[in-house]
Amino acid sequence: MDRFIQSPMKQRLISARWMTLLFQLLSLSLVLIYQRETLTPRSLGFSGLLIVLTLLSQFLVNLFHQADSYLLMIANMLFSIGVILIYRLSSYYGYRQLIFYTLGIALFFVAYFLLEGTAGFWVKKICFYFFGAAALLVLTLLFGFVSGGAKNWIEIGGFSFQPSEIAKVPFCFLIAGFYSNRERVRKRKGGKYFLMAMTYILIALFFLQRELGTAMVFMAILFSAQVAFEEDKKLIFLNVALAVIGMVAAYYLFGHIRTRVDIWIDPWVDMDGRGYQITQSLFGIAAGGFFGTGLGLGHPQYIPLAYSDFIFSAIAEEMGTFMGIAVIMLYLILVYRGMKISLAQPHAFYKVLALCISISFAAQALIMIGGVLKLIPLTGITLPFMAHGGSSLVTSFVLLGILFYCSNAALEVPREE
Amino acid sequence: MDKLLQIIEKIFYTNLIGEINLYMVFANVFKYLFVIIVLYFVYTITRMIYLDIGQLRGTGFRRGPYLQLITRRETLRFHVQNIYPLKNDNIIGRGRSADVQISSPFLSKEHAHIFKEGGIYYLEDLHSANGTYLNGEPVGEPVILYPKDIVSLVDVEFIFMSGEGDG
Repeated sequence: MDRFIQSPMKQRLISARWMTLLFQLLSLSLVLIYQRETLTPRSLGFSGLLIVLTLLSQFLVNLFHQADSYLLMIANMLFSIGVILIYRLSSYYGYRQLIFYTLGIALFFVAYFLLEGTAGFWVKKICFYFFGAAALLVLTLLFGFVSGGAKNWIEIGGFSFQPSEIAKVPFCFLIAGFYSNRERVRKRKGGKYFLMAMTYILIALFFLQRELGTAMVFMAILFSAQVAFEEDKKLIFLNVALAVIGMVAAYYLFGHIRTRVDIWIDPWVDMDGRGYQITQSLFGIAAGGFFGTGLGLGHPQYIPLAYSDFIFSAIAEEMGTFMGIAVIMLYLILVYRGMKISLAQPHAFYKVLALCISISFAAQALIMIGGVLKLIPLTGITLPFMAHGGSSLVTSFVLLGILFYCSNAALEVPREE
Repeated sequence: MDKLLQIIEKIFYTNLIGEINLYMVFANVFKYLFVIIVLYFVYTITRMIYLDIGQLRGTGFRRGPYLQLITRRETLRFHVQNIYPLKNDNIIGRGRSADVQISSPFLSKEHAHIFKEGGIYYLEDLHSANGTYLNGEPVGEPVILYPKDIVSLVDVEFIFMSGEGDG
């Protein structure tokens, strides 16, 4: 770190850390009173664990001088806002979310140290990543069960999770592996179409599962990586053309996508039926106004899935449009940090990886916030770090841990062989 | 636990004026605080980003002399900044306390010294193991640094810029 700006930066870091703590203290005291029927030692433990984990993780992150410590701070703030609202809606889901947060923070550091221990190992395993991602999706197709219109859940030993969330990790590695070993892959026949072919196979698997939200995220990652690193610009246009054809085909092939588009164009014709979710979401946001109704004084429970898919509407209702804007800004600075890490990273593999991870956060936030605001058709993915959901939260923290590793400025650049 | 519940109920959910109870008062005050806190959080991080961009761009926001890296970064196996701003007294070396800290394994902990005296910058070698070179000549005793002089420290080369419109 540059010595000249280190001291004001340290102060800022500290004051930002206290902001998270202050927010947690104030909002916890409110929701504990609000959820007074379920006020047990357990809920005090919940509050304590949340505060301790956040402080501890931020303290630990500050020990890594070379890496970017704001990443986790921003994620912690987003998580705090989300978990408070989830707890206010249902203390049961609040506890669950905190357990996943504990796991997520642990895996954040595990991901960092795993990469640090085996940095060179990951660079050239392109096929391994592809088969990893494809295997996760094929397993879901074979053994998965349907929930919310998509067959994307799988159950192992009593735990159910979404492999499509986890598949984001090998997919980001796949793209990074392809672009950092471009020369080697190019030499083979048709090598430059290799990545697109593999991505389209994965997307086809998503289509079979009827999970199009995550397919959109994958497409966004591929597209951004191509814009940033592809030398053959024709491929970008080819990709756009194929994506458009795919979207049109999906519209005519799948009934539930037609429904999604129809209710996006006009939800009011079938307000009590198919358009119920989105209209309730819009009512909620409108009821909040600029500063919201106040925590516990609104009615976000009328919005279906307010604790997961529609958490943004619930936040906008109870904490106001300004909080909604603040949440969008938090995602913005998180993605900015990711882009900056990618620009500053000299190691090609981790450079591409950092870009892919930040785009995955950006795409998820964009698709979900746009969806609940009725700006784009709604799809069922999760808002990273905020929405309730174990696989999503844990995967987001693992990706953040990898991004945190990529921010390490002292990564050694391998010599050319 | 039931007692506590009753106390909470009594304090926060008794109507004070009309339909308004203490919880509603708190919730309404806090909602402004929440927005202010989170926006302030965003503000502090955005400030840091601003400082950060200054560091990334290097010359953009800075006045005064600096050392600019001219070795191609790709050839180096360790982290070097593009720009090192200079104060009146600078130790260059591998050590943590050095003003210009470069983690090259070939550098001594305190390798070289750049200082200002009477408006002129001088470069001196601090008895380093591998030596310091100015425009290819080995440096021992303090020598005057002119703008656009090349300072070589084993495997890293810098150009000295006065930051007064010469670069």
